[in-house]
Amino acid sequence: MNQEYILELKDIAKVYDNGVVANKKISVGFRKGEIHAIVGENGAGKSTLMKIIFGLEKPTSGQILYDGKEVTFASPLDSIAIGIGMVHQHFMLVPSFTVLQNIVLGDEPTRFSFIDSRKSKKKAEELAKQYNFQLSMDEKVENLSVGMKQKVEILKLLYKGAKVLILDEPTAVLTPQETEQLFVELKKFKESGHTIIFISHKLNEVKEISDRISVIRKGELISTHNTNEVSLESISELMIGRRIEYEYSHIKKEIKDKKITLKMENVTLESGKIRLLDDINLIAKSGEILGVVGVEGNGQSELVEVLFGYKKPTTGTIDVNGTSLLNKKIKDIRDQAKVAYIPEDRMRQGIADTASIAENMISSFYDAKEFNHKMFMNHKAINKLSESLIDSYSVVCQSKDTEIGSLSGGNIQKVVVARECYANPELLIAEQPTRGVDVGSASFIHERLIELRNNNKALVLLSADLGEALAVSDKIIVMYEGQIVGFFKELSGVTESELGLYMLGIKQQEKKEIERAMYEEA
Amino acid sequence: MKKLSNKAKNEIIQIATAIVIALLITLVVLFLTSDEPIYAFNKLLTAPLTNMRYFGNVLELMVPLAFAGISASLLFRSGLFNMGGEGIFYISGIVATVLATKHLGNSMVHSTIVILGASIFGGLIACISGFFKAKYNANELVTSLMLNNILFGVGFYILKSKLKDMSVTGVASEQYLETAKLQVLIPKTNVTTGFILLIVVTIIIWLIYKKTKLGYTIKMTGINKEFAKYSGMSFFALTMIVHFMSGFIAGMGSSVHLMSMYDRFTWSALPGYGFDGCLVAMLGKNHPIGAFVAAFGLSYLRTGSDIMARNTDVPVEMIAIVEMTLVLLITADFVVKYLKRKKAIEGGSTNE
Repeated sequence: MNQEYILELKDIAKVYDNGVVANKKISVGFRKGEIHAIVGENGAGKSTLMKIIFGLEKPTSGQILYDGKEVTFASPLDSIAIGIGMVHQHFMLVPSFTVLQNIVLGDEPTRFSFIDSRKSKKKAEELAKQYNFQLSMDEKVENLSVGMKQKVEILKLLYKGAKVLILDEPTAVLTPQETEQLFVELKKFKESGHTIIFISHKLNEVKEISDRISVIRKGELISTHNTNEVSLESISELMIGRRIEYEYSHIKKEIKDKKITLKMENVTLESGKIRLLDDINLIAKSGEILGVVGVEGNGQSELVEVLFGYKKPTTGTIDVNGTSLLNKKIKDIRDQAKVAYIPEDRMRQGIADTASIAENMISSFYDAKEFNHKMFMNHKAINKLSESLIDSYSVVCQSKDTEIGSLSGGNIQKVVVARECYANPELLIAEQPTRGVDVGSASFIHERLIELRNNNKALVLLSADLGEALAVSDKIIVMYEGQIVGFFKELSGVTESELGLYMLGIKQQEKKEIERAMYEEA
Repeated sequence: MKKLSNKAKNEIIQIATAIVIALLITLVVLFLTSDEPIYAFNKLLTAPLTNMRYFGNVLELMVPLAFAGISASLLFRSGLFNMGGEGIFYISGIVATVLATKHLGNSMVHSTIVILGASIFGGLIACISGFFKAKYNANELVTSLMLNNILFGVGFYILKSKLKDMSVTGVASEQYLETAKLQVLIPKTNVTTGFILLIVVTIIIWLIYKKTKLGYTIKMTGINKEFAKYSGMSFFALTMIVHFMSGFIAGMGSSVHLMSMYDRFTWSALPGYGFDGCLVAMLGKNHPIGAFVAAFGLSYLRTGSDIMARNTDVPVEMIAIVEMTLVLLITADFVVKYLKRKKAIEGGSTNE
């Protein structure tokens, strides 16, 4: 029996009912008294793995060993009972209860079948003192800051006797000061013999806090390292994997009459105390693809959200061809400003899965004159367009009436791209347009994007795949902590590792420099 | 097209299976409780076809059920779980009663005013839940159920204090004027021109679903609200329109029913059509023609059980077993579908 590990996973695999493989034979051990980071891109399968450890999901195959003994979890109650606790990204607290009530919830000490609040308060206060948590037990949770709420979550787990703490992206909601404090606390837990599983894609934090790092990519455990033996760069390479080389310079046409399409000035987006976007100034021109890269969670998705009207920026202006996008509905952003958008999560936003391909093909312009005569929709025109787009994008399907949800990811994405390109936008925002798509479809999609560029339209491409970003884009900006920290107007000499240094915040260009370069170009 | 018709076929098979199972359970219960189970079962299933009057009963009872079903299906199809048809049936009935007891023109004009008045009022009332949902994202299930009780309270107060005919015992309004009532189509039954109105409404709603932008928006929002938002569809506008239409049709169902079957307004409790409408909408898979057929089926079973109760030792409540079994079997399928989709979405973002 291997007693090196307090918690060990052996060949854990998870296949969802719909055939999605989330985890492939993952084996990893967690030592007593270590901080073990799990890193991977979004969708790599980290969350599924944690859900399996916490008993929220059942593994399709494989074993979980706790203290050398095999265990199975029917629900989180079982995992909590043996000492595994999880702090979710979104807190599981009752806002109208006090700190103490939240901590003891579900495990209240009783006296003559009444809750013995004096006893529980004493126990909770002792725990808080032991770990130096400054918490008032009688304060209501709804009055606490995010950082304090997280402390309540952690204290709740300690109160229930958790030996293994799983923290899912704990720093995502914290200010830098709160993060620092959290790290001090985590080190204390480690000293007192707790095991901490720390999930993050902020590599610099992982490097700072963890003892060991496991990298997960596409559902597989790539490797586990001692943190002091690996560099950030090599981890980031492991996370992303070997890339396919794309090469498109031969199909990019020289565009003569470029004009400024998108202009963002001093755009800031705040959520509580955190600045998700910090004074963004950027310009995107027609006939160009502007790549936006950065480690996930550094403001790229927020950039899209303010651009496409999902969120209103706290300050700043956004113009597309002179039309302000502020206070505009998505409908008007699409129709008046002629902005189209390929969303990152196609299943959640990009399609209606049980509707037909044809119905999904026209959703962005369903009320255009072309597809309606007077009261009724013009199904003839809709069918004709659907068939021709299915044909020209070679979407593999039975017919235009097939349920779109039954297609493969690559084919679904082709429908989304076909639709957004057909809208003939002045500005197309493409967010991870080839994520989870096979290589053939990916280069097909790239060519469509470049075609739009060659027609003198502006594109903003957000990609976690640096190879894609470098091959498809004309210019690139790098985002770090909500700011633009790098601007590359010429990509011929730029390498992925160069970009990586900016993405990790190791290198930064002068802010004034970036703005000048961008405007000079214009 | 082949794929689609397969899907429809599957649904028909599934509903047919549910009906067969429900009837088998009924048969078992009849064997356990009745002295003449086969005779009773036979009455239940075939009696409504034995004469025109019985069949007329089936048709007249299906009218409010179908209106309520179509009303509910509009909301369900948009992904809104509003069960407010009940209260709207009641309050629109009160409005219809107010209008039907006043001289407001000759036959055609008067009945039109009564039905339109009740329908528009119903639509406006439904917009209350709609507004709170659209503006503040208040759970429409809760607000509509609460509203049912409020509407009943208000309506019953108006009935007792303003509309009550003092010359009769019990709570009843004054008599409806003949000009307000709908014209009978099949003699000796209460099948009136209201039935034609039902067919017209069914076809209009079907056309809206199949042919119009509104129908398209309803479908897309019902399948994936996030997608509808991303496509630029206004959830606020859609929610208001759908609530208005739903309330309008419920109000129409209530007034048509009253002007076909009643001489006075006598409901001293919520009539139950709103909830029956949810049942009909589910059985009819949120499709207007489905709801029409489901309303016919339900009405047929209820009429059959009524005749059975009069002729045998089996009480009329027996039919509740069939209905509840149907609900169970069909909602169970809803649950499976919901789980599948939820899993697909959660899993879908994780990997291909």
